[in-house]
Amino acid sequence: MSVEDTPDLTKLDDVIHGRLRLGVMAYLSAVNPASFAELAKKTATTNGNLSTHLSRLEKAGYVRQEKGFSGKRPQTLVHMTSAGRSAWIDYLSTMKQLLSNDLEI
Amino acid sequence: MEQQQVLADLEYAKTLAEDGVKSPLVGGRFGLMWGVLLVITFTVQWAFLSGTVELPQHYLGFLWLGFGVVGGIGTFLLDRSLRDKPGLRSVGNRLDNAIWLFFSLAMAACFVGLLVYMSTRGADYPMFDTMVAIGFAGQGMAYGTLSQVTGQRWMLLPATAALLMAVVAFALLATVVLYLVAAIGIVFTVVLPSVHQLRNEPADVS
Repeated sequence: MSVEDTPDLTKLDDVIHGRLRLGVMAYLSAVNPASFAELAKKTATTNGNLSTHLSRLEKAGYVRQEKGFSGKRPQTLVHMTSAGRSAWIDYLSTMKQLLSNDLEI
Repeated sequence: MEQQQVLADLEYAKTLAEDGVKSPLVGGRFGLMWGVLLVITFTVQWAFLSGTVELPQHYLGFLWLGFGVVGGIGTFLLDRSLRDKPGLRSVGNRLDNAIWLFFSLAMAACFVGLLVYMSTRGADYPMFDTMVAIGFAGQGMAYGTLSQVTGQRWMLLPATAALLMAVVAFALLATVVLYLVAAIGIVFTVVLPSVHQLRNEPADVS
């Protein structure tokens, strides 16, 4: 593979393109909303780490965190927004394009 | 190297997305409760109609009123126990929730329609029996749809059983044994599938 055939990873949405944020977006694409505890368990990460990455996704407008209660216990629900869904679809399209170019070598 | 990392990350994302899509259905507890209530109610109705148990006729109204009230309260309480289930808001579980909600509303609409019919044109109990057949047909449609959308092929079994029960129920309209047969049918079309769902439920996260 020559240098010019190498996929241009800079075209990817940097907000989504991180392992944990990618996982969060993937899970939310199927289960929306998901609770914070559910996301932490599914992604096998700490609450602090998940919180940091969710804040980044929220700042980009891709997710919305809703604080409430489940019975008497506090519960945070994480929603994928319509902007987040569009960004997720764009991300997958870009990734497909990049990897297809690579496979045509 | 970076590309390998990207592929590994994509595989990770794919696993999580599949995990979400394949979230087990968590409505088994509702089905089990309504199924047990229906078995009891149909059996008592059969016992009443067959003369096995002698009760004043208006007790049948109380029986079905009790069925609705106990079921409604039970649904409310069980709903509270579901809030920490992972995958609760997956496409499959949202469809499961919607399809049984509208099934219940459809049955309620038929029930009200029959009450109007009976109060304006006189009591005609065989008409009431059609509720049983319509209920089984609705169950068959619900299970079949859920099976197609969620890919849970085992649901085709209760779907087929429920559709067969709809045929049987229509064939037994205006006979006393209809309610006993329906009670047995409910065990196979509601109770056992619900127990199966409950056993496959994921543990709570909290």
